[in-house]
Amino acid sequence: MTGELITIAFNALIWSMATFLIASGLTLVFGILHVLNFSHGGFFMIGAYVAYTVLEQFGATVPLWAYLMAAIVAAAAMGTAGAAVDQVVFRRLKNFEGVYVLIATYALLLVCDGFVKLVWGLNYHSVSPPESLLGVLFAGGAILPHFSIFVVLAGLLTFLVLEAVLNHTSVGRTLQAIAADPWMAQVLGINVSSVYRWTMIVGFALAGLAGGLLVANQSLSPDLAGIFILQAFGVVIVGGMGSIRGAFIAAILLGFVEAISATYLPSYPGVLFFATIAAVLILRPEGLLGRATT
Amino acid sequence: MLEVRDLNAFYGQSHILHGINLDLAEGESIALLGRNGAGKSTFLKALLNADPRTEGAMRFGAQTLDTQPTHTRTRLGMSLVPEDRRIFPKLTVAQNIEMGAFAAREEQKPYTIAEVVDLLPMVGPLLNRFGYQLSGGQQQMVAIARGLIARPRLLMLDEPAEGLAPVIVDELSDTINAIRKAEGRSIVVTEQNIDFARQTTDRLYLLDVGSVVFSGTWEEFSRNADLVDRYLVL
Ligand SMILES: Nc1ncnc2c1ncn2[C@@H]1O[C@H](COP(=O)(O)OP(=O)(O)O)[C@@H](O)[C@H]1O
Ligand SMILES: [Mg+2]
Repeated sequence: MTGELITIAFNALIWSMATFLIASGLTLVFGILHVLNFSHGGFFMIGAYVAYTVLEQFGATVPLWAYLMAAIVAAAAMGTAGAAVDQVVFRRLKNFEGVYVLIATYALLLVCDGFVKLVWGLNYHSVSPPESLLGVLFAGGAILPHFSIFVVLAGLLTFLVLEAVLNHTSVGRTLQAIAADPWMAQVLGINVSSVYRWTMIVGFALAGLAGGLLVANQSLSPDLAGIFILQAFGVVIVGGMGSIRGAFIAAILLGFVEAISATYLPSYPGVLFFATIAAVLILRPEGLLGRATT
Repeated sequence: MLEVRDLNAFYGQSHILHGINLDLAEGESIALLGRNGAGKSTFLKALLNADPRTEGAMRFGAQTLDTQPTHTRTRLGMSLVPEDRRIFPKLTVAQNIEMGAFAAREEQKPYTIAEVVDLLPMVGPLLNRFGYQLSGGQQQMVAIARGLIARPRLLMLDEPAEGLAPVIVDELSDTINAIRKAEGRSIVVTEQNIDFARQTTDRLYLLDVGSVVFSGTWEEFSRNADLVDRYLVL
């Protein structure tokens, strides 16, 4: 019995932290630029492919440092892509209604999809976890793979870093001011468009980082974007659009919902997940921590 | 120090300001009077390239203003305290004021919070409150403090007395006069309240439907009694 509970809790945490890793950049960009970036999942996927390409050089056994380095390369590559998207797409649409930006980000998702098919093809690829994380931990009758513990810790660390920067630094306060009132921020001498650019860079880099960290144990195919982005959108909406802390709490909530339904309602996948999202939106349409700017 | 020639401003297709000419010397203080909708706020925003599209020539100090974005203009030393104050609700008063320091010029350090409190004593006891906890008068004082911390050469106050209780208005005019004296700063005050404008400025421009219809000293203004009836009384 305890083994089952630990397994459920552990599966919940893995789902939560993996999804949070993807959702963090999405909600960050929404919080500051007020743009819902449909292409986020696409850049997450490209990040995973980039990491895969780096790790291919190491053959079957991947050292931990190489795995981390591949994730950083993926983050850097997607951060660069974020700067390009800001320059080529977002700046040009600055004076248009939000719906055009939304459509543009959807178009970008299609571009990502095409890019992956062009460069990496339609075949499935896979990467095994780093060598030193292939073991498992036995805890009260449950089996906890080291790599999954690594994913949970990576998600937690990402949250703590974002939380610290946004709430306890002057950069965070400036971001809050811009999120709340960009017009006033520029009148106070803040270079708002440069901050927007850096937010895009960081948001996209987080997508790439998530792709790189989560690449092991996935079957890497052009479907990857769609699978994860649905979960990430759920987390961002339930948490309150734009709130990092909200996304973190929502990720844990929905992670438990998923883990419980996988154990007790295995023949109705996703039902409890969507029911929870619907329930939260009925009770709190703005999300758990809606209207927050961090 | 500020020179505006034949300034036209537009919101989309609407032509709001029509051929405005205006001069302001270093250390001088002027009022911009006019009814609601006359174009006072549009004029201040046009100086900062903060929303309206403009045509015409503007010069600030040694700089010609043409395509510079808003934040660059602010960093030249032009500071606007907007009529709706726009205090950041979730930052404390001290943090709100510090946000103004981005506008500091390279050659000149911003004021410290303590120096700002010396100029605006009302702000002192509020420093740890959050923006959303302030009354209208307190918001106005904090907005001025925030607009002042970078030691602007030109401080633009958009209807600072609007909606404030008479006691606070008196205190505000003392404050503005203290700020004027400190460092020979130039000031533009837009107002509908004539007495308040007279107490805080040297001379005035009168605006009506986007054009300057009078400019001169307060004595000259007083001698043209019909100006008030024609352009200020509703
Ligand atoms: N953002 C805007 N878009 C379109 N028209 C505007 C905008 N802001 C102001 N106006 C118009 O410009 C004119 C001048 O407004 P404003 O400068 O705010 O006047 P004042 O500050 O003297 O009350 C008004 O007719 C107003 O309706
Ligand atoms: Mg106005």
